[in-house]
Amino acid sequence: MTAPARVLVVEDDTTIREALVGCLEDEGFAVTAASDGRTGLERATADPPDLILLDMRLPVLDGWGFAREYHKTAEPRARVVVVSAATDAARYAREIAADGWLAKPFALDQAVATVRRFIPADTGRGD
Amino acid sequence: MRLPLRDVSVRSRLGARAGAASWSGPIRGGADAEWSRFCYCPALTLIDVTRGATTPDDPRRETGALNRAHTALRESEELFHLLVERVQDYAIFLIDADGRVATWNLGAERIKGYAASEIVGRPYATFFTPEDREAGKPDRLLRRARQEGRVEDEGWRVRSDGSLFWADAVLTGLFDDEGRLRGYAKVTRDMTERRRLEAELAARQAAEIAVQLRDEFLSVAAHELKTPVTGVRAMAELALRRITRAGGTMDPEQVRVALERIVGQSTRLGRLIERLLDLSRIQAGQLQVEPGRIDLARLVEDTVATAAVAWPEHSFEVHAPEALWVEGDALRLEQVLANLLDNAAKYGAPGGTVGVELAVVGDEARLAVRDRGEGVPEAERTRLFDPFFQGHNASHQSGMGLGLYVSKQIVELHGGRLWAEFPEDGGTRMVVGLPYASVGSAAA
Repeated sequence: MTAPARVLVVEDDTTIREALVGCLEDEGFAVTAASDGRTGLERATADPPDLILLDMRLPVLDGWGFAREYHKTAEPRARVVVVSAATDAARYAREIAADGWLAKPFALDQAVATVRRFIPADTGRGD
Repeated sequence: MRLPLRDVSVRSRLGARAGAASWSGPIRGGADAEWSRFCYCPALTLIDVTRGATTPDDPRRETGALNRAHTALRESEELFHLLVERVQDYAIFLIDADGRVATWNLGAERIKGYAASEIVGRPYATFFTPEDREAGKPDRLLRRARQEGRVEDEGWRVRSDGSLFWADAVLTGLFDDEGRLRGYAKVTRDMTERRRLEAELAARQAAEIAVQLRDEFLSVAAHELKTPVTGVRAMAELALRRITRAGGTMDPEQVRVALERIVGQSTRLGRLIERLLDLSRIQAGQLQVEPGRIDLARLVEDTVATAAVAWPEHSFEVHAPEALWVEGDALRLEQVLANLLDNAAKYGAPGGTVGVELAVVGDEARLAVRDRGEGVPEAERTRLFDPFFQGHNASHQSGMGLGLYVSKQIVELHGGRLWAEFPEDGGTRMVVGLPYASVGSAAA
């Protein structure tokens, strides 16, 4: 049995964060979460995930600051998907050279599909 | 008309070029030849009168030369008259040493509306508005032209029909070879149209900025609205997925949490929309308060209790009397206090203390909310109550920048005031002052 793929959700809105965590856990991913960029960075380095869902407007350290710091950490690094309002998501993703983006408001099916697309093929699901 | 050519060298150089098709060069004037203009004169027909007159060897030739010189001079003067008279875009005329109009041209007639016969001999002060005349402006300009050689002025002038035009005028003092004042040359251009265009341009630019601000605001508002919409949708979908997955049932505890979240986010959405409506009410002058007798102490207690639930990591310290009755709109004042508490929690130190004080100071009931955060940078303090102004942590954008703006309007509708203080030991202290009548409170 392959270890479940790990996803880190960095999102300051409690409801969105809980919904993403619950849904991805239901899908068999191992999910950790953080509500600000600094804590997110600590989680990302302490327990390296395969994918990071990153909100951009965050307290303490915002998405841009997170990306800057995260790029300085040692390889291998996780794929990063920007989660933001539709008008900004694509632009923000370009700005921080992210792998993809998910526009708010999103359907949970979309969120799951996006995560699956960016999880490396050799990392299996836990279920 | 004669140009005040006092500079001998210029005159001799003019002479040296007599008969040329055109001439250009400097011409100086003023009491001490202190001003100069680089001039271009087409079809110049000046002749060197001086040299013609002093050629001694042939009297007949001399007389002929003089005649030719006089003819040429007359022709030249005629041409020059024509030039000045026919210019339409500029009023070019002479004012005598006493300040009366001495000559007139087509441009002056066109711009100012007087025919030469109506205006020559009358004071040039006629062109000024009564206010300018009263303030002594016409004389002041003449004096400066006399003392400084020339003076420029922009301002409203009066046409013969009483209408106003915006003039750009240059007044030049004219002096003879002995330095005596002979009069003044006045060149005036009607800039009304240009001024109107400039005003139009400024208005258009202001409108563009307003549109840009509105667009930015709409983008921020849309962003703000999307967050709770995303939350409601995600929570509802999560519940549905779980019900489907479990074959039509769901753990009641999970249902409760999901529903609570949905209620919370819907409430937030409703509040944001209410704030947007407040903005449009304020802009339409239709924001109203419905005052009644309210106990501020009770209002503080209730509002702080709600804030404490929303910000579980913060502690709220309240100093308030048992009761404090004022005239006010309970719902609106609760909105103000909730906004101040929200800001204090948001911009204060994470997990810090928010202080709330209620007291009577003079004839005011004062309600102060104090945080221990970074305060507000000095450069941003004047904009604190502006609509769309966002807090200092710009990247963590939260809110639409309407809270303090709307709060201030509400407090002012109560006849009160809202201001910010920045204590030396850090943080921000927002103070609401509401009118307080101690007699009324004793009766309550």
